[in-house]
Order: sequence, then C-alpha cells, then structure tokens
Amino acid sequence: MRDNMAFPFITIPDELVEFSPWMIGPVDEPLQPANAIFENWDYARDIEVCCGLNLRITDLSDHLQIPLHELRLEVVGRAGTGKGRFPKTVFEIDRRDINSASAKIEIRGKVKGSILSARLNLECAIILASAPGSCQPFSPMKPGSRLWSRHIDILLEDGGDSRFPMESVSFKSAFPGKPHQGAPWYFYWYHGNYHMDFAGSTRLYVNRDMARMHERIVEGDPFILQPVVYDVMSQILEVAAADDLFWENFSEYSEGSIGAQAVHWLGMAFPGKSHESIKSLLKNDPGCFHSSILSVAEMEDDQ
Amino acid sequence: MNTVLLLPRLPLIHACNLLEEFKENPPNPVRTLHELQNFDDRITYAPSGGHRSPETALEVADNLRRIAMGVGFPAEKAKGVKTYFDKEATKFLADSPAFKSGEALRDDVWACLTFIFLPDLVSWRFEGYPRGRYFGGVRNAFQRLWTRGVVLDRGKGSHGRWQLVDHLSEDAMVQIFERSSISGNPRLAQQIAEAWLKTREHVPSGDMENVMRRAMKIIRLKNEVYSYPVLSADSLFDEFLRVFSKVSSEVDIKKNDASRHAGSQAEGEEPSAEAGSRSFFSRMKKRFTGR
Repeated sequence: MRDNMAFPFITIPDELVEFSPWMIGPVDEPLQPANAIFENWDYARDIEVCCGLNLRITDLSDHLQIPLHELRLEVVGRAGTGKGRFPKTVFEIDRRDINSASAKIEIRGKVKGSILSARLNLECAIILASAPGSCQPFSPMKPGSRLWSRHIDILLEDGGDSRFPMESVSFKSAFPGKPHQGAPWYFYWYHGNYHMDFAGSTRLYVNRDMARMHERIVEGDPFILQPVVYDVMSQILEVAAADDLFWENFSEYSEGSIGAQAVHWLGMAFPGKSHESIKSLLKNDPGCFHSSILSVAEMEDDQ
Repeated sequence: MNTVLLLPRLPLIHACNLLEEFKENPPNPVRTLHELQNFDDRITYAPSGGHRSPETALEVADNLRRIAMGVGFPAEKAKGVKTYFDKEATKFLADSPAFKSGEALRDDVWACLTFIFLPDLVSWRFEGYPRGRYFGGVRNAFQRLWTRGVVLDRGKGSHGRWQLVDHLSEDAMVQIFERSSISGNPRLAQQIAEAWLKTREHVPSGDMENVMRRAMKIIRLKNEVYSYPVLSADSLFDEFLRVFSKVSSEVDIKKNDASRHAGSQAEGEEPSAEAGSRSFFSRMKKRFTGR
C-alpha cells in the first residue's frame, strides 16, 4: 500500500526561513531584484540569477522532529522555461547542503540565453536529502520530500506570450469573409484534451475594427469585461460539463491546464453541486447554467 | 558562442485561417525560399538574438520528407509504416542542430513547420486535418516527436541509445508526454519510460496500458509532494519501478479475482455483486410476474 500513497508530513513554515528574493541580470552585470518582466532579453543574452536563505538548523530540527545529527537538508535552485503556465523544460541551476548550525546559503546560477524561451520560472526549494534513522510519525522521511519552496515567474521578451493569451487584431484583415468577422471578440480554444496548458492553447482576439468596444475592453470597463469573461468561461464549461471524459479525470488535472481551470470555474459557478446536478442543469435548464456562470464572471467596478 | 538560428514562426491567428483553407483546397507545401515569400505577411521571426534562417526550416522539412519517402510516403498508408516514420523522425529531430535552442520550445515555430513546409506530410500521417496535429503544442505532428526524442535519448555513444524511442508503446508515450508536469522534467520522464520498459519484460502487453495509467496517477500525485526531479536517475528508476511493480501486482490480483468469480459462479458458490444484483432483479421479476 505504501508505494501507492503519499503520507502527510511536516513541512517548514515561512517563519523559519529568512529568504532573500531572487535577483536577476545579464551575466557580468550587477543583478537587480527580479520582477514579473525581464526586459530586453533575447537569445544572445545570458542571464544570471541568485537568491539567498538564512536558516537555523536547530530550529528546523526541532520543528521537523528529526534529531539534529540525522537531519540532512539541501537547498535546490531550479529554472524552467517555455511559454505557458507549465515550463516546457526544467533544469537544475544550483544545489547546496545545509550543513552548519546557522546556515547562510546562496543559490546562484547562470542560464544560457539561447536555451530560454518566453519565460523564466525560478524555484528555490528545501528538500530532505536523506532518510533520517529515527524521527516522529509526521516527520518527513522520504528523500526528495519538498519541505519549503518559493517560485517566481518572470516573463522574457516583451512578456506578451506568457500573460493571459489576448491579442488586438483587425478582424477584417485576420478573418476576412469568416462568419465571426463582425464579432467584437473571438475566443479560440483547443478542445479535446483538458490536460493541455490553458495559456498555450487558448487565445482571446479583440476586434480592433470596432473602435469603441475595443477601447472599452482595453481600458478594462467592467460592464464590457463581464460578458467577455463570461463568454470565455461558458465556452469551456459548456463543452466540459457535457463531456464524460472531462468528469472521469475531474480530480487529476494539473495546475495550469484547461481541465484545472474548468474545475476552478465550476466550483465558483456551482458551489457544492455534484457532477450529476451540473450536467443535469446544463441539459434541463441551460439558461440557469449560463446565468450562473455570468454571475461569477462579474468584474469589480473600481469607479 | 554559436549564433541561434531564428526559425520562421506562424502566429496562431494565421494557423486558424490556414486550417480552414486546407479543408477546401489541399495544402501545397513550401519547398523553396522563393515560395516562402508568399507567406511574408504571415510569418514572423524573433526580432533579435540570432540569425534568421528560413533555409534551416526548409532543410529540416526536406529531411523529414526524405525519411517519410523512405518508408513509402505518400502512397503507403499502413499504420505500421507511419509508426516507423514516427520513430525515425523522432531520432532525426532530437539530434537536429536546428532545435538546440529556445526556438524548439515555441509552438509557433512548430506550427510553421506543419502548416507551411510539411502540410502534405502531416495529412498523410494524420488523415482528416485534425487541428491538434497542425497547431503548435503537445500533439503537433513533429513537436511531440522532438520532445520524445530529446527526453528519451540515452545520450550519444550510450548502449541502446534509442531503445526507449523504439520500444515504448504509443499509449505510454501519450501518458508521459501529454502531461506537461511530467514531460517538462526530462530526468523524471526518462526514468518513467525506463521503468515502463523494465516492467514490460514480465507483464503481458495487454495489461501494460492499464498498468501505465494507474502508475502515472500515483507518480503524478506523489510528484506534488516529493520533489522527484531533484533525485538521481537511479533513485527515480528504483522508485518508479516499485510503483509499476505494485500496480502490476494489483492488476494481476484483480484479473485473478475476476476469473475466480467466474469459476465460483459456475460451481454455485457466493455470487459477485453484479451477479447478485442480477439475481435480485430476477427475484423482483418473479414477485411481480409470478414467473
């Protein structure tokens, strides 16, 4: 049975880790605090990143209920890249043992610009390096147990590829003669595989030819954004709710996938409802189904 | 430092339109730089950071076409032939210098290859213009092969370098490579494949699909709490082999239980739940009809 289960174990709370956030910059230049966007990157520009941790290993030993002489921890820095919520490839940039009583650890690495694409996802994690000989029932025991981690997602290039996939275009030029040429927006999504990355397989096109509407969407007018958001949500939820395959894998969708997004939205629109009742609502009272989605697509009016 | 070869990209919006056009008029692949000029208004490149190289994309396309022709493209349409093409194309793409940069991680680069340079090859490999095979992403006709190749490559000079590519079933490939949380971690994905291959030595091939699906559920769940990618390849292999072994024994037990139930019913012993409900309905029917 043990091989089929992941037992709960104690993790390290933020209070026990003094974290110096990620710094980033071109190699051989002073590093700057990492923000959501790293400007002016291209393949020719190699990047250096670093972050720091300050820890008292005695505190960790007490908290994890593992004797100090048996506690072996490592700090691992990893980087991921590739468009979408999931990095398309992830690699290790640095790894350090925590082996002194009061450990000040720096994770630092250089990343070749040529292997990056669209985003840089950085993770700093404290993991259990080896199984302790003796410990308490809820102490972590398995090497690789993730005890604490911090992530940051940094957009490279102009960042446009990695945010919510949205684009302003002239529908007259982009979709000449198509039935949706006169629509104010068009939500494209690839259905058929709910495990696909949401950001990578959907795109909202806003019609630049409809100047007034376009302007209000770009300005974030909540009265216009509500039907836009509703349209995005309802297109996915209507297909998913009626699809047995979607329900079969309901609890398995990874974060960032179309399936996970649909599960999240269903929870918002139909709190506490069972699969059967949602399916039944769609079939027997589609108006209620859609209005329920519309009501949670409401945007806050800051004015 | 080698200059990155900047490959042509096809934005999603143009890909959508081209697919519609394909359904009305069979696609004509671009075979020369001159023909590529017809798509100047639709193709883009990274603005800086390397050297624009449409000729590299043409060269890749020529090589893939050559591999396909070697197995009988376009006339030969047997499934086995297409599977063989996939394996050979996987090895070629994984080794191709064109895809050693971040360009290979871009969906629009792969969309350009399928829509502009090789639409005929894609429609041979996947009939009916299924859009997932043309658009960039995990199902793109060639992008999926490249991802498989770079992850499953045991390395130049290694014994059985392409053994995983040659022997993994399509179902196993899909289970690994259509899960971004797994396929994005090359060491993790490769060791799952290694464990699959080892398990297949003693599990009937008819059970492997079931075993793989169950094992992947467990591995994905555990990967949320354990940082699998930080473990060594050997540790990962041992871990996954344990999961596969446990799952295959459960599948085996279930099969034995099922056959035992079938046998026991024949001998008049306690019926299974399903058989029980059948006899319940028989009793109800008898009660109402008297028969």
